[in-house]
Amino acid sequence: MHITATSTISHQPSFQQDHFSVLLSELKYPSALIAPDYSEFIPAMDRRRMSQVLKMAIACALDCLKQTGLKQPQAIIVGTGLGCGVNTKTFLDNIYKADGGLVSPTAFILSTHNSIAGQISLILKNQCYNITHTQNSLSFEHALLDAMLCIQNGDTHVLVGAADEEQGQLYHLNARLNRSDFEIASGASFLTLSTEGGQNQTINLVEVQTFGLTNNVSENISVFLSSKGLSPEDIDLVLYSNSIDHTCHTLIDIFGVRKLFDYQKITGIYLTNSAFAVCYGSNLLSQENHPLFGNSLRRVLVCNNLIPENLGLTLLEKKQLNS
Amino acid sequence: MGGTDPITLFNIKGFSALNIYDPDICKPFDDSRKGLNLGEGAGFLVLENEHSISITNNTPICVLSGWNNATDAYHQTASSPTGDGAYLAMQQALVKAGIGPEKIDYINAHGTGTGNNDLSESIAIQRMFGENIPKFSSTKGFTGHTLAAAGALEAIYCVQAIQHQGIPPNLNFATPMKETGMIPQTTYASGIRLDHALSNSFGFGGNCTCLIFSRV
Repeated sequence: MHITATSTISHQPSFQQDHFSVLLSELKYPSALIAPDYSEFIPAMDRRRMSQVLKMAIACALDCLKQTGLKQPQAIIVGTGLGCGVNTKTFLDNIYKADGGLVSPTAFILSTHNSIAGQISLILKNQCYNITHTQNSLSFEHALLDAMLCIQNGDTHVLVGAADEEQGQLYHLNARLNRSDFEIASGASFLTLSTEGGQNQTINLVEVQTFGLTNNVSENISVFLSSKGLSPEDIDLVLYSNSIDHTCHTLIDIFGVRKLFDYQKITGIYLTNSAFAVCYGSNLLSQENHPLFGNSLRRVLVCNNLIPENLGLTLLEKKQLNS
Repeated sequence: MGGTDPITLFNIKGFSALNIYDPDICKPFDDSRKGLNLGEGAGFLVLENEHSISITNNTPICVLSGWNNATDAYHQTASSPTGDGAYLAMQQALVKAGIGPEKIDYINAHGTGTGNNDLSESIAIQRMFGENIPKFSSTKGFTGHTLAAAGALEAIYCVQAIQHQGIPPNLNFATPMKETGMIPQTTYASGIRLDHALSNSFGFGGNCTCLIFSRV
């Protein structure tokens, strides 16, 4: 199946930039989300009560549809690690401040994880399949798997993405995730999956697999690649994340150091930053004469090992079409 | 697969703020219903395909024959007056199950006991089943709304209904709502043939899910 559009809001100038993969640089402390003007996407009334995670997800979702000319996707599938925790905190604060008195329901109704997919459906007036996957650091991969199932079951156009925002109140709980040299960040990344690709070339989403409680990343990758009849030599670039250096050494052993790129240097840390990596990989593959890679890229593997015991593998492939 | 949810102050305050929390006992589908009760619970089911069963040799107790998720796209928390999301969920679940609406013997409704949900769901059921509405009940009079666990709990009630060929009653019902006149099953119905049971579960974001369980 084909990736027909990607859209990503991050701490990089990535939104609505056709070739954003040449505009990226390593994050420097302190960095901030580069948020677009949301007024183009969301009515003022709605915008005021929405937290950042909702706004950036909606903007990416609408941007993807605009690129493809698609009015209504046949499914809206969202992965999020922490969802609308900011609104959860706001509502809890309001309960505390009200001291038994009345509280406004606004933060409560937008506190559920599925608010993101729900608000996208409301803005689009879309009544199709609408699902949220929250699987810690593998939330986006589970959303992708669901999207692939939708296509395999007959849908032709599916909108899938992920969003997570930096939540100050959770910072102290993030010690497990956070290497001292990476910043806790925010981001939203969406893409459209379709049964139909481009006319000249197309980016295929070949395979997604998740491994929970893994203790053998090397074997997982080997099984994943061989299930597609591939070996490590067939992969041109590995976009990876890891919170311990161990994974990096494993990947060097498998692929060699020159094929590796740690995408957390450009995304910062959040539970669904692998969605950015998939958009980034797709963007790299779609570009001709990339300043770093030329036309050498054919297959990109996204290796999400943000949490050591969780592994997500996503394989992208460029196909030239004879037209 | 399953779900679990505890009672929390967060949810009591939230549903109270929305004016859909009834501090007294809930009355699903009754004309005087005032809101939902919160409950807590957990439910899990084991799903296996044919290949898995050929290895485990487990005896299936029920078949999940239809399923669908659709969205109301009307409001973040309120259901539409036309019950679009619920209607689409039921309609497509029946398509997946490959059966017509006349085959459904029992509906375990979402039936929270709020003014908005029970009316919207009733209208969706009328749209789906016309004059021949199957026996239906909300079991939330027994459990309260267990939120994330409710779908799993009510799936289990449907499986049990098929296993025991009986329908759990809808508690606390006295007066049909004037808009629809629909009367749920108010006593335990036993000894009836029950081949297909349908379970509705709805959530914030206009999310509507329908599951259909069928006799093995």
